[in-house]
Amino acid sequence: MRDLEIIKQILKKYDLMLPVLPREQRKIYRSKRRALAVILGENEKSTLMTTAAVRFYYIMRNMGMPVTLVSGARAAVFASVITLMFFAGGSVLLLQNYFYRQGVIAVNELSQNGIIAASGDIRINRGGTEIVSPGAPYMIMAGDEIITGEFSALLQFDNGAIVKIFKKSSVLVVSLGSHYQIDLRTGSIITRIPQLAEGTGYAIHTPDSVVSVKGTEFGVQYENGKTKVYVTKGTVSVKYLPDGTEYDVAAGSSSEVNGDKKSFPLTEEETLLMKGFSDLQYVESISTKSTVELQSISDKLSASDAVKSGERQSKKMTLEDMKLKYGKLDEVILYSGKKYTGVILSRGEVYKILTTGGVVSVPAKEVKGSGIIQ
Amino acid sequence: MKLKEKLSDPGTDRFVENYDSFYSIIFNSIYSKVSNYHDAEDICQEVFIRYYNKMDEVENPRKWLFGCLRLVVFDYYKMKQKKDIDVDELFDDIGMGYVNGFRDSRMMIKQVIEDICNESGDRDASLFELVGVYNYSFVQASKQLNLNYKQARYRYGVFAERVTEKLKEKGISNIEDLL
Repeated sequence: MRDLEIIKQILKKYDLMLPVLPREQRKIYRSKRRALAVILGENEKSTLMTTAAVRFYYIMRNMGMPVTLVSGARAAVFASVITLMFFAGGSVLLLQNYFYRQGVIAVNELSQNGIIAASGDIRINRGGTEIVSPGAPYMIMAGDEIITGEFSALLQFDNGAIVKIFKKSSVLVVSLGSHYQIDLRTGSIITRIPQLAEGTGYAIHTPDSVVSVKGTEFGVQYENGKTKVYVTKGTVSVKYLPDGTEYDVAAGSSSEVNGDKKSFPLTEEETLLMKGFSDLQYVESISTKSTVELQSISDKLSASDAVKSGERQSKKMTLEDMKLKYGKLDEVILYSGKKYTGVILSRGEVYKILTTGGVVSVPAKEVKGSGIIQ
Repeated sequence: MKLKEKLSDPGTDRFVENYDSFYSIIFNSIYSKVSNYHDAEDICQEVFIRYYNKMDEVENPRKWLFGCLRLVVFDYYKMKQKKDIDVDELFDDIGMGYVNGFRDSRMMIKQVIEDICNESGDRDASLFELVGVYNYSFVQASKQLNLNYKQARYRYGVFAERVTEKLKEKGISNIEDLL
């Protein structure tokens, strides 16, 4: 130890020492890494790979690993793949998040007679371009105008709201995000929204009113120049625009929005209508749902339409009623052991069975067997 | 030669090993002469490019690299048309011109170190030069030479012992006498 110091002093005394500052030592080390990549990358088309291989070679070497340039290159490729996957995954998540913030529309294409038809009567007006009969699920964006024909449509938003647009209605989705605004131009909608987070909002505008809520289930109708609001859960705040009158409509009440602030108990038809809507639930990860699952949503939407038009009994018939109407009763047994009793409305890839609880759809591959029981 | 083949070539591994051992001392040697970081970087790179291309013909990399150095410095300044730089002057060892009582001792010490450097492994020689001549810390020197701290200290100690022994052979029984 002492000899080491003496040798240093001797080198210094005899002017054989050429000290390099630590800062410069580090610079030289960096230069070393750069230069190796240049030397090896000479006459190479792609120096990027060489640079990456050299960089990883030194990183791994500094970690005390016994490496060669080839292992540095392998590590560089591996890191590139991981980075690429990371960015690709991140991009997918961002895109998914972007699109998921948009609404998803499930189009009711099933007529009340159970005949599957491409309705073609729902239209989306997007920036002057008309999209006719989009399949479900279909993304909607702020600025879209949704016009229904002979069938209703179902929307949901990423804040957990679910909206049923009745037939022959026109709705403009003004804004999505933290503050949702839907303009009901004509027709009726029913909406259910969970308790909203602080700083967010949800409002339905009609030409003469604004209905805003924080978390409730309610319907809005705008027909013949009049807005009507009916509420089943929570309380909604209503503002009549012509004179600025504001008042609340409580659960179990309906009100024709005008300056007199009057509310009435829900009628039987309104109660039934809202009851049909209660079967329609928010669907998580709708883009991953199978055709059968989407069809099931469409069936429920159909059933809710049937309730409104007074055909509730035909959709939820007793077994005796079915036997009287169809002259038979079927029994369908699934591989899972589940059994449906009712009337098979259609076969194919998906069985449609009319049961006492309504129409159910079952994939054919799940059906073990069926037969007439009476 | 494709990049993959180039990287997996044993010759490339040998080059990288020598490059790791000599880059810092070659750079410092150039830097101490040209006193310009960027010029030193360019010249050093050129030295190693020439070495890479001639590697198979080189028997003693250390000698070859130091020999090539002067030629590259000359070519570099010729190419840059810096006529005011006298390359011969750059390589003159000013210390050797001293005419005083230390001149002989200095020459002897330098010769001893040079001999041991030639006899020792490339990495040991570079380690001694980095720590002893260029005043690198053991941590920094071990990083440059792909050694760990303990290895660097041990190898430096062995080299220093050999210096002491060699000086004894030259009649310096106690190295402290040189101070």
